[in-house]
Amino acid sequence: MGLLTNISIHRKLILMQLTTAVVVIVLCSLTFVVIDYKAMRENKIKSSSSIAQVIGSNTVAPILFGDTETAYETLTDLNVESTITNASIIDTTGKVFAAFTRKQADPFTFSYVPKMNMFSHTSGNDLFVYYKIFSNKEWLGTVCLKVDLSDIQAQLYKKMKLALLIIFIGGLLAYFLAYFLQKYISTPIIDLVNVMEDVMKSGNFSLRSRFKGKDEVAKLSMAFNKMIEKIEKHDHTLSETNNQLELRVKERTQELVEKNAKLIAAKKIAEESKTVKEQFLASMSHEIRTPLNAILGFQELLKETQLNPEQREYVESIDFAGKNLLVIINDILDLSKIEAGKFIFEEASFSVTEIIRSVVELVEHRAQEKDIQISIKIDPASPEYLMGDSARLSQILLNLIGNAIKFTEKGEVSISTEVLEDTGLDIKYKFSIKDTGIGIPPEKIKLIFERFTQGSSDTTRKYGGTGLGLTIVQQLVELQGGKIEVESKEGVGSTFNFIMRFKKTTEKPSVDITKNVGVTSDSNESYSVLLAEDIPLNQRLVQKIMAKWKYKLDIANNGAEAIEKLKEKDYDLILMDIQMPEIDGYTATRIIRDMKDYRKKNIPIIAITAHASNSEAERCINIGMNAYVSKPFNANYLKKVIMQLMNKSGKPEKVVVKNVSKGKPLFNLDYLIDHADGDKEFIIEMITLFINDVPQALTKLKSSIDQKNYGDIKIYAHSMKGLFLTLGIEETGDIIKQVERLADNKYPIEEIRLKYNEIEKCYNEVKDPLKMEIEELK
Amino acid sequence: MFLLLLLGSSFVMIQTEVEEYQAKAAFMYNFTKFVEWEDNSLNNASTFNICVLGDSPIVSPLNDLAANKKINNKKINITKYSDAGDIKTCHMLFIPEHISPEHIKRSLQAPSIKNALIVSEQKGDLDLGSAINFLIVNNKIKFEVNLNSLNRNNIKASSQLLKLALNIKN
Repeated sequence: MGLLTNISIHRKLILMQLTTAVVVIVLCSLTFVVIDYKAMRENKIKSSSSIAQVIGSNTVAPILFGDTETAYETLTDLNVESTITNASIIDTTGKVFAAFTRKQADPFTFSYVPKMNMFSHTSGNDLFVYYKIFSNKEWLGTVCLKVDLSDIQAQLYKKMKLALLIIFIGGLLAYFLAYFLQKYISTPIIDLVNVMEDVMKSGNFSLRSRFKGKDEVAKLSMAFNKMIEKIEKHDHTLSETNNQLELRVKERTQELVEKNAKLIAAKKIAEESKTVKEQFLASMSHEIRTPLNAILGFQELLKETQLNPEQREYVESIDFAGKNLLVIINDILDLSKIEAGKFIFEEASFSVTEIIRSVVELVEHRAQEKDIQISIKIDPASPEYLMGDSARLSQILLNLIGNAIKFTEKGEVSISTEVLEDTGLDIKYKFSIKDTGIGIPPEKIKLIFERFTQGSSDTTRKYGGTGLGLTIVQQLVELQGGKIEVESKEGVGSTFNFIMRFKKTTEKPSVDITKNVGVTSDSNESYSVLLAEDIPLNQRLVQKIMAKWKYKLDIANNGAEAIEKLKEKDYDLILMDIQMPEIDGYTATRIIRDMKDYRKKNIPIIAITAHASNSEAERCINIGMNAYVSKPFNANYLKKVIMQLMNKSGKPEKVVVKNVSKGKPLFNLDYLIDHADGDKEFIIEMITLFINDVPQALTKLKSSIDQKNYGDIKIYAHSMKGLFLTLGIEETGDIIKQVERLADNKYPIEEIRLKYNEIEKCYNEVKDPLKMEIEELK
Repeated sequence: MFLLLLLGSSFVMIQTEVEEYQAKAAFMYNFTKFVEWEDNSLNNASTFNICVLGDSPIVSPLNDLAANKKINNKKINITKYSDAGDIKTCHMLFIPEHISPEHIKRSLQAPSIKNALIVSEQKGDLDLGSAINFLIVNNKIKFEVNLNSLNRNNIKASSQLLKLALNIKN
């Protein structure tokens, strides 16, 4: 079957028909040949038997009368039967009575006597016939014949040859017939196949098989046509569905795009509202801190005055409430920053021991007031220095230790550390703060880290606080990958444990302001301080503090005033508020740092700001300020900062600076003279050009400053720069360069106006001397 | 069996007188198979009568034959006559060689033998009126036939028998 399936249908048909035909012809021919052969043999046997019978009856008498000659004569009659080669009559004892042998044939002696009256058998090409002779039922003898069958064999071969010829011719004929007849079956099938292949190749479902008729192939053809028609319909439906689908996808995509746009808009709104919220918080803190600063400052000053006990109690109430309010504001700010994800943890080297010690120092006086012992136990296995955010660690510790002291009436607060794990690279560090305080009721333990939650409503009344402290602590610990837990028994005490991971380091911590905060060097040295502050309340507060410290204080109401004052007089220190009218703290600082005078230029500046954020502090330092104090400030803290700043650089050296403004000429014509090559007219022309053109340029610059047109500012400043530099007025040339830069970076217009004023002033100063120069040259 | 063997090997050479007459007796028996008695004398008879004229050594083998065989389903009866006139019914008459021609002629006049097959054994007997006469050629028994004698006695001989005859006299 495998062989048949691989050949084409028309060959298959030919092969089938040919096979059938050949098989039939071969079978027929062979049957006929065999039947013919058998018939010939039977005929031969019959005829030979008849001959034997005739001989038998003709030799009865000769046998009876023993006449062998007559018997022989009878046998010689067989000469006419050419196929009989030998004949004998043998008597009952087997003796030969008479024998006949054809000429050229071998003599043969018959010895076999069969039991039957008539018997024949063949051996090879010979037929033997025996016939018993009877007379009156008496057996007289037997006639024996030997017949040669080779002529029948020859005839068989002849017929077989004929049969082969017939098979060959028949096969050939069958092949041609099959070749022509198979077309009636194969052609329609092949046509159908071709149509199918065309459909398959082209994918054109409109093609049809054209075969007409009523046989099975026609039915197949019709079925195929119907099927392909259905497919065509399906195809059509499918493509329609596809189109619809595409359309729907487009619609959906459009919807998605629209939704996306809406989402983006919503996101923008959300972000904007977040920014607004942040700004609101920042300005709120400023707005609240400024008066609070004043309240606390004056309260402190008030405490120093002569007060009767009642008044003192009131003042202390103000102190308590005010400080509490400050804590609340700071906490809210911290929390909002944490929630905004704006909290950035620094990584720097620090000493755990130092941190704990400094925190304890801060709260020690409170513990002493309540007569509570503070014990510190540091794990000896703990490394000297660790990497992490020391400020946040301080905050956490301060909060927890502060709480412990706050809620403990008697007994002690013990602080201990433990190294849980040391991988060599980092350590797992556990801090425990244990107190003997009021404890936390079990049902409240889970809630204490929730915001605005305290052990009981009484707690707030009695101890103050917002309930934000622990929330912030938990957030700070968890944001740094740590974990905080609390164990507590009401009336016995509480233990707060927090575990954090720190990198190990051998690096020593860099000198830090906060670090030395605790080490107060009570210097009685007096400094002259310039305060830039617009709010009179704050001015008065600082004034009082400075008076107490016996510092000399000058007050500037804004940045511009401060600059003017600094130009007129030397100071040791500037306290700079950030938000001020006309020129703010940043701009003023920049202007100061751009000053020519080395001493004035490097004067220590401490920012005093209500913008209580890290980025704000960073900006202050980047702009050139030396330290940063957040409002409302603690007088002691401010003093510590001042002391530190002064110690760091020591008492500012009295640098001997040449008074350049007096010794140095206003202008320098060397450059011009060099290039004039002795041409006085040229020099005069250049100076005249300067005198005439600069006012014009200045007017244009001024108007563009008024219009806040930064592009024009830059252009006019640039046009002027060459004029000044040519006449060797380098200081002013530098100022113009600054204007260009400021305009480029779109700095506040007031700053540029300040520069403009300087340039104008410079022009007015040099105008008359230059005119005199021209007269001289003439 | 004896007789069958004898008949079957009748082509064997005759060596003695006994053999000769045994063969002649067998021949006489075989002749009955090839001749027809056309009148009804044989059918009416109860026995097949073989008559022997005078003494002859043939009587003994004939008697043997009669004891064993039948002719036309009839018992064979052998009778010796010295004078033919004594014969009542006879179907076959054997004339031995010592009978004189005169005796033969006279005997053949007897009316009782007018339908009998006459068998003789002396040369010339055929001319005297015998129908079949035995001869010995090359030690083999042969015979000659006189058709006139057969016809006169209303006996018809088959061609097979005639074919074997050495001479046929009309």
